[in-house]
Amino acid sequence: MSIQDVIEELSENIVMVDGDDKHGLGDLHNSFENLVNKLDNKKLIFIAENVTKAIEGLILDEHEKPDEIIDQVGQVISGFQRVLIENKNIDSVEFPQQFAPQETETEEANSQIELPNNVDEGVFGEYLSKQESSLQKLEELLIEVEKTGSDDDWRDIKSILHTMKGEAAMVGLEEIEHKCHGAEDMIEQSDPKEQIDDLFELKDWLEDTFKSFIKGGEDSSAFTEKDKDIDSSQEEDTSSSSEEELEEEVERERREIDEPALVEDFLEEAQEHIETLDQELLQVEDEPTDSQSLNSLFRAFHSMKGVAGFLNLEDIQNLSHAAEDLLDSARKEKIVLETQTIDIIFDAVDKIKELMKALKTGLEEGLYPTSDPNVQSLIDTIRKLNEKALQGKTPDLSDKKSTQKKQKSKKEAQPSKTSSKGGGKVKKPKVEVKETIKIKADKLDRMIDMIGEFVIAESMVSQAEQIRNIQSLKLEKKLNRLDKISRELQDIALSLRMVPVKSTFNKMARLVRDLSKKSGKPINFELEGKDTELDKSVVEEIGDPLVHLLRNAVDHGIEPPEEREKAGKDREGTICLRAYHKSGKVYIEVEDDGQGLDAEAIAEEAVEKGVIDSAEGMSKEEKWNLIFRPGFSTNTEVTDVSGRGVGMDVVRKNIESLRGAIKISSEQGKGSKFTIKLPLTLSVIDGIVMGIGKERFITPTLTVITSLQPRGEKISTVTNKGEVLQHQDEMIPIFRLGQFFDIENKKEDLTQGIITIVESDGKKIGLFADELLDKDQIVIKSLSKDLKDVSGIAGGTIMPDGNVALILDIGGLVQFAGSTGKQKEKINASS
Amino acid sequence: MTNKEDNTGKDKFEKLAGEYLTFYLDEEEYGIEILKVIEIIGLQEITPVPKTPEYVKGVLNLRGIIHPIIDLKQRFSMGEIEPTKETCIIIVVIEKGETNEQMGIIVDKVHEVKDIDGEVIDEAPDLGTQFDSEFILGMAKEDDSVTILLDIEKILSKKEVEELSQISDNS
Repeated sequence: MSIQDVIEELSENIVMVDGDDKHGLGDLHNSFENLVNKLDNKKLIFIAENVTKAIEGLILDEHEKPDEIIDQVGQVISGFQRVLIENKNIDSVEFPQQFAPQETETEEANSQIELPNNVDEGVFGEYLSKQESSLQKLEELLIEVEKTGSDDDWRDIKSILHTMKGEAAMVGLEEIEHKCHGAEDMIEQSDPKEQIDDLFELKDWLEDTFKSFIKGGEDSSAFTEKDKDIDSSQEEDTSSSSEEELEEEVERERREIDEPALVEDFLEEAQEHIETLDQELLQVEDEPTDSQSLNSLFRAFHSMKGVAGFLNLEDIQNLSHAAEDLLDSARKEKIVLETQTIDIIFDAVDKIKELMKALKTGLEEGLYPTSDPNVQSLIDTIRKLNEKALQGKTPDLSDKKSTQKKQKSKKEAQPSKTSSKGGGKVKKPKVEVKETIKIKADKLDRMIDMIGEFVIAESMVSQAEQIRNIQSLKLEKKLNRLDKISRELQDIALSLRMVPVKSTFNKMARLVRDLSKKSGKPINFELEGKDTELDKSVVEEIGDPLVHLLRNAVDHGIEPPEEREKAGKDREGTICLRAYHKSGKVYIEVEDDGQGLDAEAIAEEAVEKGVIDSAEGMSKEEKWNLIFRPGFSTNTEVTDVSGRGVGMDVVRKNIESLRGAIKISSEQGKGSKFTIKLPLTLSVIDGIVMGIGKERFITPTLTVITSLQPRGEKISTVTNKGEVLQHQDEMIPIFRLGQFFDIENKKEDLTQGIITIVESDGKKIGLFADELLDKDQIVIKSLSKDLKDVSGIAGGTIMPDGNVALILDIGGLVQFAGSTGKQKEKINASS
Repeated sequence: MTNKEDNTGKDKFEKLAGEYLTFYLDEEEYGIEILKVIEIIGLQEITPVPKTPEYVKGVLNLRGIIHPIIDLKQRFSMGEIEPTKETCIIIVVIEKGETNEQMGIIVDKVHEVKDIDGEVIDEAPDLGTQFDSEFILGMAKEDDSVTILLDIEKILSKKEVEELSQISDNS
């Protein structure tokens, strides 16, 4: 349908419509929406959009005099007729005051948030969202420190300020960087207690500043006034959007949210769409014609538009609509998405994220957020791109766009394709969309527990002696069937809470892409083991530390392309993020092929910074690990982008709070690898059931090397205390579990029992038990909180007979057996 | 639960009024708030957990959840419970910060559910170090019997464990 047709249709419809005819109004609304997409004159678009909103208002019975509005809409349509069909000059045609822009905008302003130094909007968005939590923490700490004045808190405050300073520098916000730096110095130099008020003031100022960024329009007053004690001078060069004036008119009073539950649902749903979008966009960036990805992008925007429209979330609706149209053209192969276009879509996704965030905040207050002045310009940009691309590629198809303006610069219409390779690209297989249902986590947990119980009850019944005695083939068959079902049920139950790390990993892909663009270092980002599953809560928590690690890898690890060439490496750096299961733990690795860690430089730095007194006698690993110490930074320029120290300190804390560990391995000039080891909070492991006395203990099979009944000559004692087993040319210390746990062994003689050789962290010990009972799949369950620190015990599991057996903490046992010779002696002596 | 600061007057005991499940340890009658009780089960096989205090008898599976089981008599240094037909485990819920945890306490005999009036509740007498009044909310006197109302939340807390070990060291 050409633009003329739409207008004809409109002019016919408007005659028929009155204020009560909801159906007719709906048609009218749709036609106007359609029109908005086809128009290219800013003023006309603006008017048409206002009309669309007015009609929406009519549908919702918001206006008191509907006939008046319809009358005006009629005027608008005839105005459109004159401009678009009779080709009158737009300025000579009058539109109703209510819908027309106050001042005629002639310029094609591109007014996205103008960021300092052209920082990528994605990076900036990420930055802002991080600052919010930092500020919160800062406030908490300030309040705390005012009471306690504890040095620890001060150090934390400094570390937050330091992080904020570094991050501000990274996105080029010099003002903020200066102030944070000033504050940091202030704390260091004078009595910090006197400075608390100033710090609070700084915090408020920062909060205002970030808010003004989030609102989009740059609030320059936030930058000039207020802070008097902390030195500051420059004003940020950030211009307010030129659209603002126009938008102010549109901006309505904040409405109340009448259906908070629906909005909540929408947010949740939209979150999923956003994830899909990010992921598929990366795919499309690699392969711009991948129809599957284009389709799912289209679908995601489309469903978001639909629901947002239903909930009157205009900004999200319109933005999704514009993006949807663009993708519609792409998936119908009318246009090929260029890098520039994809970037814009990324921008749109980020914008939607921002809008969602605002909505979330709004939800708490029960009010819709005010509309974002920058959305419109973004929508315009998307539309332009769509049209330009349509014209550029297939002029023969674009008869309906004959009335449209000529394309502008050719450079824009055809961005070079090769440049698209600059960003971090992701190699990954295609993703299928699977259906999902949302269930509350606690219900799920309960169900999992009950299934476990059912399985146990089932096996207790089918193995009951009385039943066994029945000796009926028919019954046997039925029991077998029941057994099979219950096993399957168990498998399903166990997989329920586990989710792939995919969602978090995909976010990282986006981050690296943005960082790569920002830093100008081409990076090939590889993801491995995205389907590795671990408990949902862990998947969510692991995001933060990964962001730090990947940032560091890009900032410090990967060298600039020139340097890489000199070193004989590929210009393109490689960062690999991988996840895998091993030894009943999940490993997540961040590996880069950059310059690696300089152990000596780190050690020197650490001594200089007073982190340690002397690095003498420290191994390479120990020196590397110094970067996790609080207050450490390898960056000589203290004012520059965040140094490694503070960030890595946080990384380690985060991982430790997940009861995990982080390890570094690195080779200078070749790259470094950070390995995060995480426990599964809920997981199945293969385990070997050992019997000691009356008790049963479970060793995770993955830690077991072999089990054997030793011959006497293979066993020797060291100074009559430690017993050692000779196994394949290795001397393996024997660890008597019975003694350690204070349980009476049935068999004291080593040659009568069984020795299970287990390995942890490269060290081997032989666990001595009476017998091996079984090998089974077991579900790790935590013992209650009060019992979680019991040494040598990692958890419990429920055995087929319904009783509890304890799972051995092999790592802990090996460590104990290896490092605490004295304690071991004590045990031996006491026995 | 208990408001240690609020030691003045009888007001604090008014709050304690309500239904209690009472049980016996030896001849003494104890009570725990009925709302904290999940269920009562017979004595079952318990898996011992090594390297834990003596009164931690071990762990027990109840409908897929592992519950730590405490011998209340040993917890109060009253000697070990001798299993009889009447010995049972009371499963209680404990608020630990934001999460709730369940644990079981072994008692000699469950008695009844009693509605206890605030007026009959009195403060625990100070019996010195031999007696740890920290777990005790109050004493309810009725006719010639006395019911000791327990603060179940405190029974497994770390601080108490430390104190207990100090007491046993001193004695």
